[in-house]
Amino acid sequence: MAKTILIVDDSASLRQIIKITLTGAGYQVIEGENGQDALDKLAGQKVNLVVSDVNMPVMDGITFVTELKKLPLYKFTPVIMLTTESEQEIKEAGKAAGVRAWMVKPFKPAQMLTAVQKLIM
Amino acid sequence: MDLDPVIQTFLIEAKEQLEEMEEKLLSLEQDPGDIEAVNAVFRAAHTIKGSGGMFGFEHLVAFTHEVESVLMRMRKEELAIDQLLISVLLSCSDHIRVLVDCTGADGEKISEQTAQVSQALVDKLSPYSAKGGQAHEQSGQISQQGGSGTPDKSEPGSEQGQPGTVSDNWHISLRFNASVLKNGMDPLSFIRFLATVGDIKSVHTLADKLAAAGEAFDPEDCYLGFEVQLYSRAERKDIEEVFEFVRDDCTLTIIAPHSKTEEYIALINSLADDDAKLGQILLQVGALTPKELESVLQTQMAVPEEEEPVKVGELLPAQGVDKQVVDSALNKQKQSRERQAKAKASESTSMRIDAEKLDSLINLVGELVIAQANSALLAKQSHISNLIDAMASTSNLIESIRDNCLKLRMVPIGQTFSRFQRVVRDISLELDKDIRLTTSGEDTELDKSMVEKLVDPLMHLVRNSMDHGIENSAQRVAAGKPEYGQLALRAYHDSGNIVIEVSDDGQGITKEKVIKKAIENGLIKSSKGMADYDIYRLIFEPGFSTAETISNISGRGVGMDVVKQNIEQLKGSIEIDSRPGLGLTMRIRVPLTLAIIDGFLMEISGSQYVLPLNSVIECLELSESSDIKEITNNLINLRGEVLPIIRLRELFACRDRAPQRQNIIVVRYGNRKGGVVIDRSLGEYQTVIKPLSNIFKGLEWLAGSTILGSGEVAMILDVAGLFKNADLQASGKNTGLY
Amino acid sequence: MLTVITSQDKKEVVFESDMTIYEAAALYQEITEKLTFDANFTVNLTQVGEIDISGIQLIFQLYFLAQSHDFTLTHISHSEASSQAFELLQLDVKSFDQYLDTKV
Repeated sequence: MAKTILIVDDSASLRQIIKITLTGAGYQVIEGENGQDALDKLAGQKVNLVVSDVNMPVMDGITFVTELKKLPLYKFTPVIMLTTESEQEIKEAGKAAGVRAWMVKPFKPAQMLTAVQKLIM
Repeated sequence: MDLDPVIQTFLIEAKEQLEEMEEKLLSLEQDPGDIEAVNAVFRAAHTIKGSGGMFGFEHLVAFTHEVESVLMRMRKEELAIDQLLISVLLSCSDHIRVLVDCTGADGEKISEQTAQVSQALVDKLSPYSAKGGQAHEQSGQISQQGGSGTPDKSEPGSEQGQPGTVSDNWHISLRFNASVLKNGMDPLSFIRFLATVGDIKSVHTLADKLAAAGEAFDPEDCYLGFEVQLYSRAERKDIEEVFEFVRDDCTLTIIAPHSKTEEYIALINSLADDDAKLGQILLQVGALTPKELESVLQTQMAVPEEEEPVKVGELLPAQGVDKQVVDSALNKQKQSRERQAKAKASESTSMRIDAEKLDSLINLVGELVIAQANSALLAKQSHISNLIDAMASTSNLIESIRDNCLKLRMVPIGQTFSRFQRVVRDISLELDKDIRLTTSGEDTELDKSMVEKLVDPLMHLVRNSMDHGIENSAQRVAAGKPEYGQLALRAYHDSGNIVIEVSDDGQGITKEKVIKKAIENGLIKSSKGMADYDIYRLIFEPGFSTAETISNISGRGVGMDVVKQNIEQLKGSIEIDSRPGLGLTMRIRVPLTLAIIDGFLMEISGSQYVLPLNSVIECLELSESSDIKEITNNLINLRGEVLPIIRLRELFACRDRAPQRQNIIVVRYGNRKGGVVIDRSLGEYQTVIKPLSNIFKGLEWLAGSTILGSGEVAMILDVAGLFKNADLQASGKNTGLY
Repeated sequence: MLTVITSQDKKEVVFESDMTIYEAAALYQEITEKLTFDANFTVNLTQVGEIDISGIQLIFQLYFLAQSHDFTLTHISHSEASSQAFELLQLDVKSFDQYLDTKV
């Protein structure tokens, strides 16, 4: 059964290109344009991995991951957080929310695929 | 991968982000304390950089990165926000747009010139960005948590003199923390990925901790460790990177092939688990000889354990991060969440739709309207009342669908108006005149396809008002006006049209000036015998504009004639409302939509014609109505009002005899009224406008054609066009409208 | 979800669900409730769709518990997923005895 990945980012072109890359490698992809949208779209589906941006309107990445991890179905789901900032405080807040993997934007689609494969090969 | 549709999305998105950026920068100029505006500008730049990077648009990314650094400092309130900074940022935002335009499916095409501009702007930014000390990670790198984790072992290849082990393999030792699984990491996945970096020769699982757990076993904890022998040509860092995300949750040791025995011994010593077990494994894989192992164990026992072996990769709580810092970060998040919740209340949900899909939907609806008209006609002829009723319901529903479809294409003009804030600001500075822009009617909607076509004409009118209309402050004060000039953009609906006004409180246009200029430019010899209307309309003649008016915006040699042309292409009209000394309003009128309209069907000499229903005021019988008194062939007095009339039979040169009783339709166009004499009126009719081919271009009174339910073709008349050549002096009142 | 099938001469533990971190706690609960270590048994993984390290651990734990009662896990029948996992880690139930705590 194909593994499912949730991408959360307010940039439609970024979501599109990651989707193409990941579906090309055999993954299923769900998209959300911000934290709230992602939570709505999940609707109890199982996902194997979440990729989320930090800076988004309506609901930012840290809040989203915090809310996500409260739900039993996603308690143990790995999260890759996308960010520009290397400040400790964002990473610390992310860690507190349950994020263990980070990627700095911008990155090439292939880098994303590699990161995903490391976590849910 | 077919990048084209994705690039399209990228371009649309980038454009939106840039608009947001500009808007927020302008508002920041007025209110430098607006933290939300700073965040919004930052997010916009961040998004462009992020998506640009995905496509490999390196130049764009690099430039945006510089802007982002400055924005980050602004976010942290490390920079004072003043007009100079905003001006620089606005220039940068403009340049980002240029760079975005240079992108495409085959990458970036940056000219020498463009690159120079990039550099010049980066130089302008440098006083604002912090160099050195501040870490703003460069693009493309994947961040790493914690330190490198492995003690720096020597690279593959033997050391001088010391025999290395026979092992050709990398030795990777993994000890996972209990919580690794709960953090979403699966050691199995990492080992699987490791297999893509080389050949896994052997894997030894260490289950001691599990065996020891017994009753205390927690199924969600990780008790296993692994020793892996990997044959690989990769470099150390490639192998390290396999475990990049799990570094904090494990103890990782990588020993290169042909490493010295010491390395392995160090490994045994560094790990807190059972030396014998590990030793056995190393023995098995050929990393150590039995003798070496024995000596290690003996040494181990002799030397008491002094220190707690450092589990590299373990997160040290005091790793330079204050609890305070974490708290303040979480606090900020909470505050921003609250703000976002408030904003969400006023946010609407919207969808991006492919314009082509929408057009094809509207075409289908158009066909549906025609088909339904046909069915309604047949129903009427059948005289089956149930059927007629059913058709009426269907027809109502179809009307609703039609209206809803058309609404889909409508966008508020506010989007266009907001662009002008920037334009007015820039031109104000350029002309050194203080000019303030007010807008109203931003919610007024019009068809999306028309919006873009209106920008250039509006731009030209605004420029004119600012350049020539509004006087400089000395002149204004002398004239008793406020020092600052006032420019207004207004939009509203009026009988099936959208009206857009560009108003200023400048000097207005005077007849004398127009005449003078027209004579100067050889358009006329003298103004003798010309009606006021015609004099004012001279400004729309090609060649009226002189070098004076050619500027940055109108620099393409665009004159008022092109403005008029553009408006007419949209089936609209433009009106001059001038109050000399007080100001000027240019009024543009365009129909709301070009696709489907409500029409009024009428018959002349057996052929059918349609008038836009919005323009019809009333329908009267010509000869019998006591309200109408004919003055001349072309004028009537309707209840005291003098109206020009047009006899369509004459216009269409109909040879057959007119019916006894003719009808007159009183219509409106612009601010005027007129009458149209026809044979019979046939009532309301929904029409789908089919555009006419170019043969008919010269006929201003023809707006289009339509297919009736009967299959016949009816011409759609353009009221303003009909009356264009009518004698206006009959109106009696000179409203000053030209 | 697991079922224990006991017949005259054999006992089989059949895992009927995925064996990932999400199922680990519940499965272990079932193991302690449904399984008594009073005989050798086999493990049936043929219905296991997805398995991660926590799943592997559960199997180890079954083995250890059996051993602590002087019995053992004699055979594992695999699904494609579990077979791949076992292969990757070079695990074979026949050599599980190496994991027993045998101090020299």
